[in-house]
Amino acid sequence: MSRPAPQGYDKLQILLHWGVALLIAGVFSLALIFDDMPLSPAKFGLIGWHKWLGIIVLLLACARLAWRIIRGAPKADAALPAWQRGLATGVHHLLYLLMIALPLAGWLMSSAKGYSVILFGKIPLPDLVGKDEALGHFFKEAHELMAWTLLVLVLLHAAAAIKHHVIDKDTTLARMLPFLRR
Amino acid sequence: MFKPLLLAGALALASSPLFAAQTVVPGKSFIDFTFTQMGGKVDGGFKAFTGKVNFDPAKPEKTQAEIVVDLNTIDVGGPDGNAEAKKKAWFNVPAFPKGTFTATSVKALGGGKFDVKGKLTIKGITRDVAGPMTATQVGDQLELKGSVALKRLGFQLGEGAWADTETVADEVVVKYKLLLSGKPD
Repeated sequence: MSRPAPQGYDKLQILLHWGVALLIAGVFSLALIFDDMPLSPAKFGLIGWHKWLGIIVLLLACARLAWRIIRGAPKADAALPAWQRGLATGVHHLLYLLMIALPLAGWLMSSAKGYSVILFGKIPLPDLVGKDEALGHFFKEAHELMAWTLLVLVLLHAAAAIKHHVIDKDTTLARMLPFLRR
Repeated sequence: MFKPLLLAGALALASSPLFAAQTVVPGKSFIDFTFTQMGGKVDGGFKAFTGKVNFDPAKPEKTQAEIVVDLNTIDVGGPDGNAEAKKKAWFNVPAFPKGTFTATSVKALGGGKFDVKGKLTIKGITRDVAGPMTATQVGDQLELKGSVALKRLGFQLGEGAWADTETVADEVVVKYKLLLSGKPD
């Protein structure tokens, strides 16, 4: 873009970043818990919350992407080697892709398996595809593969941020955690 | 004279479930149901059932019908759910493999519509059920379509933790289409 990139992230970007991070941690944990549970009302409850919070992640991820496009995001520290800046940008792009594609695959999986998503048990969301067992299985596999990929990327993203703060002692992490500013 | 006795005997035979004036054509008939799980509608059905019916749309008061459903063929939409539905808390299929509907009264409402009442036995529990039905002649066969609204807890379907109606609602709607071959008596 021709516009100069902003110097830092604004309050909204910081709030959304940590809000979505917390939601993703919660949604991921719920999936790990209910995956091994036998079918029970408690399991249905956890699956319900997993789906509902997943849809919130999808909405917030779209909002983040839109605001990032409108406002822009700060550039990586120019002092960093090009490969690190390229890697960071690549991981950020993949994180955005997964924040949207992962819940979408879950929604598609629900639709294909014949279970509509009823947000908080009150607001019915449209079925994205008709009932189709093979398609349901495909989206389940895709959903799980993307979930593990997201976990790896989040760990890489967090490890890099900590490395910048602790080892490089630069401002990379402080941009997202203003109280760390030195 | 013996004639009234013979007649009584013949009537007793006719009202036993041995009648088979019309039979349900498998493959062209269905018994499905819709239930509400976590606020969303889920469709299911039974793959195998048999039916012996004696129904003449012109003489509905003489209707006899017995539908026997093989509960082992339940489909609630997925393999995990199907396994669960056969367990003790739900249909307890090993102990109660069949569900039976016996018609007790059929009243004509006009225009090919009928009000059907009968007794449904599931899990050893018999309840009165009722619902609307339409009858349409399709070639030389008769197509019966209708629905029956049930309360699952009335049949102890979903015991213990599953009795929670927030997870699975009490109301279940059974929808059926029965294609009958053969002529009524």
